[in-house]
Amino acid sequence: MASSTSPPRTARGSGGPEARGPAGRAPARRDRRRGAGPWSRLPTVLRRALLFAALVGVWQLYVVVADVSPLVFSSPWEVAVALAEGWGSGALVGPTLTTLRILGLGMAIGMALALALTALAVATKAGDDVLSLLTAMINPLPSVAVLPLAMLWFGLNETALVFVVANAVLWPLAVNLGTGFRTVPQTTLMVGRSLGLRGWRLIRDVHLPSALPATVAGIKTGWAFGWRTIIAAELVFGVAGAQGGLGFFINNARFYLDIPDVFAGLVTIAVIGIALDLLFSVLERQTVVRWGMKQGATT
Amino acid sequence: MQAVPPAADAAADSAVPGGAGRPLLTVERVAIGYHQPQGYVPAVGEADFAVRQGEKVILLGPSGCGKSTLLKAVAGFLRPDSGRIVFDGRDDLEPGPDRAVVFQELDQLLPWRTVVGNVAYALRATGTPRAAARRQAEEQLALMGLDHALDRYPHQLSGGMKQRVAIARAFALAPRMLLMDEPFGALDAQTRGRLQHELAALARRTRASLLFVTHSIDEAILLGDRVIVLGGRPSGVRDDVDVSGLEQPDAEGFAEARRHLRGLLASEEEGSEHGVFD
Repeated sequence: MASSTSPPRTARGSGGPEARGPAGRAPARRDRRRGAGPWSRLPTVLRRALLFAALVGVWQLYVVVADVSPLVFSSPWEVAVALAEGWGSGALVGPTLTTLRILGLGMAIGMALALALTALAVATKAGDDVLSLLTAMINPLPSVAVLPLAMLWFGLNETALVFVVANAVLWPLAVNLGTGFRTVPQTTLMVGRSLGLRGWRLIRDVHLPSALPATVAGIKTGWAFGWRTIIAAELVFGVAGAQGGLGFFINNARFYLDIPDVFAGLVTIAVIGIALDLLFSVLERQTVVRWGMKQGATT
Repeated sequence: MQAVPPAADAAADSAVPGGAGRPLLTVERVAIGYHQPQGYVPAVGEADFAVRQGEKVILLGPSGCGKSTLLKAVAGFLRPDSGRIVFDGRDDLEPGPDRAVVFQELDQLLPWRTVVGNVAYALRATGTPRAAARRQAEEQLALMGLDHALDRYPHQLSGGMKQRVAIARAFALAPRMLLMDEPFGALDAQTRGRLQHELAALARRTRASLLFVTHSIDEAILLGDRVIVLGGRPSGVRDDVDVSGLEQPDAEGFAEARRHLRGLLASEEEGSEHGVFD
């Protein structure tokens, strides 16, 4: 049985290329690196801001020079206008909140289940075997692949989406929590037991904080899985209940050939991704890095 | 200097502060081993001794003589394969705060709690209300000269300070017996010497018993009222030496006690398959 401590897909950053902005960043950065010297002495924020401005400039230039059809591509200015209008009028607010709500609910359920499963795995050998078997079987499965089943079980509604997200979060988190629980230092455990801690109190006060580095890593992986899954599911789904989410917003805009709105939706997804990733990094700095349980912070 | 035979009750004659009545701890014909892939490996062959209330007892022996194993069994982490360990009238020992443990490992503090948080948490976990726990923790740490480091996290402390906090945590719990498993074993010689004297001063003031594992003869004489020498393979009690009143290396009898213990250890190490270099 493959012990999948490393998830099959990478989950760092705001997601793979599909979740990024329309223009790739890597080539531009490589060009700049050749000049080393003064460039590398600039503050990171300034370097990034300059790069961003340059990218937007190239983007705008391309649209003007190549004279592409507005039915397939938009200029940065049009996208900015669409973003401002979407957020001003509320057309983007509703879908964003819908997506975030489903994500939050799905993650909460997934995390609770992961904790329950892992606690069981720590407590009993049979639970441990069940968890290893299940994670080995289900973890490699792209989480969106269970969507057809979810639709069959729950119908065309939010519950199906929540289920898919919970499933996406559950397994990578359970794998990481399990690793974290199993690698609690023997001395730390003995200290807890000699204070008279048993059962749930030992898990809550010793196992959980001790496993926090692995847990945070698991949540980071889990949310990135969930985030991609939910957008993909919304694209497939269309409208769920009263309101569609961001995926639906994009698909809908495409349907009406409102290309700036398509881009506005993509930018919103990317920005939320970056913001959440940043949030987790701050969380990590405030906890495991501060406690010396993990060296250095990412981002 | 009197060397008494390894019978548990023989030491009852010596005057020990606070010692009266039946022993707090008795270890009766205890054997413990480990089940390993190669088979059963005995660690302690047959150990017999007793510790009375308030008595400071050192388990001294070469590496691999099972002294840590014995301490872990008293702490309740291991069960004897045969024989009994009776603490305060019970012989079904589970780990508990009435026998606070200080380990050799420097990672025994909870890394996610501050210095004062570690001590206060131990108190809260054992039933002290939050505010009182905090106050008692601060008092205990101040007593050990750690009041400047209250809000630091363990990874910001030196090894010596970590062990000091661990000792403060153990004392703060006001246990019946303190169990220490070579707490200074991972420290440099200077720090080790300083902490030995700090602990000796603390130990003189407490009414708790002390069971302290070491392979350092000087540490044993400095901290103990009695030194129980373990040896042999599988090991047993070789000697039970009264070293009370020998807190200073220039005290009368210190050199003699040291010579006696060194002789015992040397014969143990000759007899063992692996030489032990301290």
